[in-house]
Amino acid sequence: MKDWAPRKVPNSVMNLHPGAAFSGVHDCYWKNGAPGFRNNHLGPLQPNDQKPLDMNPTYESYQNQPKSALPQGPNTLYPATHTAPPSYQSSLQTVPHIVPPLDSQRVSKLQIPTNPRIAPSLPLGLPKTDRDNSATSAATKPAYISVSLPKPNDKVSSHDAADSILKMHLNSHVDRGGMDAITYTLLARDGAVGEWVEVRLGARNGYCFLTSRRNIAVMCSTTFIPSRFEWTKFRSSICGEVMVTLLASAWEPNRFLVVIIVPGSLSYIFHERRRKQIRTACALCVDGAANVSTGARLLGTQKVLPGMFPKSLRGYVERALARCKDDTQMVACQVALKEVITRATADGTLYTRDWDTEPLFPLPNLDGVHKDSVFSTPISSLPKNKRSPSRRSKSRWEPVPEEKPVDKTASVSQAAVNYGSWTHFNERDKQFSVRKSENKEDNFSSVKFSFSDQKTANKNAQSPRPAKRQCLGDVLNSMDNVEASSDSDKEQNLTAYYSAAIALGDSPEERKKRENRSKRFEKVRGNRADNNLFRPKNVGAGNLYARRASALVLSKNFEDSSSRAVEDIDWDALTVKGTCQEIEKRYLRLTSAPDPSTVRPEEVLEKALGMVQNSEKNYLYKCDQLKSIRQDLTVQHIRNELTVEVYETHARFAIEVGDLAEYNQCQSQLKTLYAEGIKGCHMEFSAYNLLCVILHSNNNRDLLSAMSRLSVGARQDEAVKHALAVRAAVTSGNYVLFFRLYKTAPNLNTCLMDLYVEKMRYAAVRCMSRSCRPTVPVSYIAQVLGFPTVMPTVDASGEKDTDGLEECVEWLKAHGGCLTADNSGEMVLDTKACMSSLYMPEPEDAVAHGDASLAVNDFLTKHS
Amino acid sequence: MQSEKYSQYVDIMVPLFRALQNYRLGNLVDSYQAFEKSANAFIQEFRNWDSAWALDALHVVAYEIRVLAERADRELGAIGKNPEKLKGAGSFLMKVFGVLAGKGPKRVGALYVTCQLFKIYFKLGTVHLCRSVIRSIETARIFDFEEFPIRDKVTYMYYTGRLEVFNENFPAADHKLSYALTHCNSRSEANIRMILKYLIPVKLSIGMIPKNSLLEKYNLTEYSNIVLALKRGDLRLLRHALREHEDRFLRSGVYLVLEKLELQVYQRLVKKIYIIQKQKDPNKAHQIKLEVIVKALKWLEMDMDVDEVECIMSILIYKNLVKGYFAHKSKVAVLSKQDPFPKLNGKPVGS
Repeated sequence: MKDWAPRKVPNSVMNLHPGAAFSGVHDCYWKNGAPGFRNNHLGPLQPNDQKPLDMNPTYESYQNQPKSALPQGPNTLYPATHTAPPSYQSSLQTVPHIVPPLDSQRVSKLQIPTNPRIAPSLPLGLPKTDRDNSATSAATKPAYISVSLPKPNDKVSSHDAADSILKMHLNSHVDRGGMDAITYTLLARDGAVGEWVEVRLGARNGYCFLTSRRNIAVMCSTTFIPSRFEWTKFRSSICGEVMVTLLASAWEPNRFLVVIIVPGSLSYIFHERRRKQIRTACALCVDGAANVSTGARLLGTQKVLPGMFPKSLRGYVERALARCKDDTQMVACQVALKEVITRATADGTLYTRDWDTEPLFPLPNLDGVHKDSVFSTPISSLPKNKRSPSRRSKSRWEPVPEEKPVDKTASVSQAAVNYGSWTHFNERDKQFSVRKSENKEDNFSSVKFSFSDQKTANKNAQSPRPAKRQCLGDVLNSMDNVEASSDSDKEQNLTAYYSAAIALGDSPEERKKRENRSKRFEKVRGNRADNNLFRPKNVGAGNLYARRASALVLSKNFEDSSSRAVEDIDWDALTVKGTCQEIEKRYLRLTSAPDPSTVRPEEVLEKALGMVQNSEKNYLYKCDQLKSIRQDLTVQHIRNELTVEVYETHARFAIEVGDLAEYNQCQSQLKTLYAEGIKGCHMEFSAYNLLCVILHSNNNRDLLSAMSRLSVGARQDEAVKHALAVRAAVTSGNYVLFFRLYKTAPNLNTCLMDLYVEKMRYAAVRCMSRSCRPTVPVSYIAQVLGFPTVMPTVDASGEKDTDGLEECVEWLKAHGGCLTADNSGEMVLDTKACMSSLYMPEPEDAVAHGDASLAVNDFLTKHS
Repeated sequence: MQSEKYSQYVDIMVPLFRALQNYRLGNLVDSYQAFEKSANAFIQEFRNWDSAWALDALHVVAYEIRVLAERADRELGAIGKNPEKLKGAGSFLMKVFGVLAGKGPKRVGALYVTCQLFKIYFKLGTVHLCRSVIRSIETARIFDFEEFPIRDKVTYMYYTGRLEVFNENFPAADHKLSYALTHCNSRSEANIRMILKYLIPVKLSIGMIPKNSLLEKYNLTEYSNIVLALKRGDLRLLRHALREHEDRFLRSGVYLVLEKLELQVYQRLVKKIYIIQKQKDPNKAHQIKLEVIVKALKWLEMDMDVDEVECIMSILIYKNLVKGYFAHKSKVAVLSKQDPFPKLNGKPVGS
């Protein structure tokens, strides 16, 4: 066996190789400490390792002259990274030994990037474990979560403690049957300073292979789709080993847990995959002393914004740091720098200030800073200056301040700063953020009063959406003019909202209204907040993420620390409980966690459903209302008869107007709801489902599976029988049968068949024109093809007869039929001439959703 | 160093042993997970080898991961969890396919993996996923299809034939399934039966009727009544046979194909009437009154009125199962004097 003593430096460098991610490492190794698996480099998995040689010199220099790197610019921001003990190389052989001597009181940082857009609004839970370090890193990368990492040069042996953490964790996931666990071993080191490291996360077969270019790092993602990769950027910032454990939960492939084990500490990040984004739901870390030390927080989607500090500011920082003579001074300096930057960010002058001429602050006194660096404290003592004042303005309940644009820019740039890297500032990024904030301002009013929109900052990136909404707002506004006389309070409320949505101007009246409304909501919210037991003092008001997250952490604190892994947290406990009492609510797609004050509880939803069911308004309105009801049900995890009824109601409305897209959404939901055994009109909807598959999807396999799923009992049902008969008529092309069934259709089967009538008629006429000679009377066609009420026996209603006839004649003409009058003066179809002349006309008023009656203009006229 | 040289096998062997042990203990899910780990490691190694010497081993891996996944899914389903291992095996095999599908000696093995993939996709009902694999097999010019091993070719043709049945592309289905049938080992009767299960409906649809002895030999008696109905023009018998074996036909996916035979049954019925009329009065035989057909159907206990029968006659003429025209006024179908009932002769109805 090779030994891993420091003199064999290149060997340990091998561990920088991405191949160091041992795919085959199984948890048992941890306990056995079986030697030899350090060899398990996966050769082919290392496409990203482009510069392994680069690392050698760095590594060596850091081995030999740990101090030499210190005074070099930004590099100095991570002082702890340059002091690696020789001993931990030898620990690479077996995992339990990887945890180096541990001293939880002196730690360095592992940085985990969080969402730049959301992070600024979070109370950043940097542990006060060592104020100097946290402050340093906070100044440079405020949006990172810090994980305690022991300074390796203080090797007091708490080996056992660390071991126990590892084992404890391992046991926890070994016990859990459904969990996949892979452990990767990575050696993370500080590379060139300020450099972004790309980490490629490929999910293969449900597992994650983790490869990294250059230095480090750790992360997440399991997709079960082999060809998809998640990219994320990491900043290498620590020196030491990082263990990454990926736990893909078997019950929910889109949620996964990343466990990062830094020697002496554990950090969990809970990830949830939605669409193409990763939502980091929670992170907390456990330091070596097995105390929960940092805050958990809910983080937003993981889209990487490049860092955006101005170059001049970078220079300023470098100048400031260059004055420092030793480590302690450096640390103090960084603290001071951080404050300067935070202040600048807060008052919005980060970009405007001329950093080149900015006077340097006096070298700080060192004592105070270093003192309180030691003990870990819970999140309640988060660095206060993390929260910029601009955040407060994001609370949408507050009156709109006049200086909104400035504020917005500040908050955006704050976001940028929080995610920032010193090196990656560039002009375009800045413009981007500025433009976004302008954009924001444009659409501001329309966004501001949206009921479910709680994080306006989030909307920054979604410029197209507000615009769309605004367009709808215009429409709705004109509708409001009609509605204005309505005496219903709710209606007025809605009207007010609608007009607010389009009022771009900031008329005083408008503002007053808003203020009133804000106050009203403020009250509601305040009450709620008081009831919230878990609400920590330092958490910003109105920030649900933070509230929920801290609730999490506090509850963990109550329960005797780290003995429970994150995967044991009951996520359902985080389900929103709505408090909104409004019956009407507009639908807005959620882009963030729901705010209870905008979510209606079940009994209100019931009323809302009744309101919609009895509403006289048109489909667009109903659809909107039902969608918002559905959303509220979803966020509150309500799945019962009410849910079924809501979906059924929506599906019926959708069928009535022929909105198949919406119908399909409801149908798929209903399918799962019925499968859970919740009662409803199951048969009615299996009939709809069959009809839909038959008439509109035209997919034999779907049809077969739909048919084979039908139970014997279901086949006895009237509606299902009818649907099956329709199917038979359609597959055999029996138009006579089809239109007979059309007339006798139960429920809304007619509506679904309606959408197929045109095709069927056309096929029928083609068939007739081919087979019948010489003529076919129009009256016969009208009768057979279901044109209204042509009953030869009922002579009294002769007028109606002609109605159907005329319609049929019109239809035939529109489709190129050749009509002549025969001897007795009856209109007949000249079949021979028709054979070549029939065609399917383009629908004149084709609209995107397939039903002209839903066109927006139409909607307006109908409404008035 | 010796240990270094073989170190890569650790990743293969250790999980494999774990899989075996778990299998013996009856923990199929754990066994599958470990096996997949092992298989992944094996694939990593396999990728590095230039020759295809380990192809047989790979085939074993591909087969076993599928079977193991199926059983693991059964275990997961029994405890109420989401059975997703087969899906996982599918994505693993897709990866294996990627390793094999390129140029070179390994390509010979690609078809085997394709067949395993087919089995998974058909089982999961995600047949649309087959398309990419098929495209990659069929468009590759560098490798002739005939060079693949025969058993793989038969399996491949069987599954692609089934796909064509789904699409109701009968000539193609006929070609593929017939290929599978002729190349299939004549001693593996179960396989022949599986092929015939799809080939018979296809052949019926293009107007070819199997001998009863064939149906009996391979125990495909569910088709015998259908064949009889086709011969007799007995609509009632056809519908009865379909209802009787509805579940089976729905599951295998030939229900809709068989249902479409109805038109041929009508054709046969009309032909019978025509022949009887011809015996009575050869001059008027080509004129068939609708009432006669209605009456005939009534004997079969099929309650249809004149409109409906007219519609059916129209369709028969339209689909070229009957030559002639229909005189609406007099409600008489006038048949062509030459070949009024054209045979399908291997062409599908309606072409």
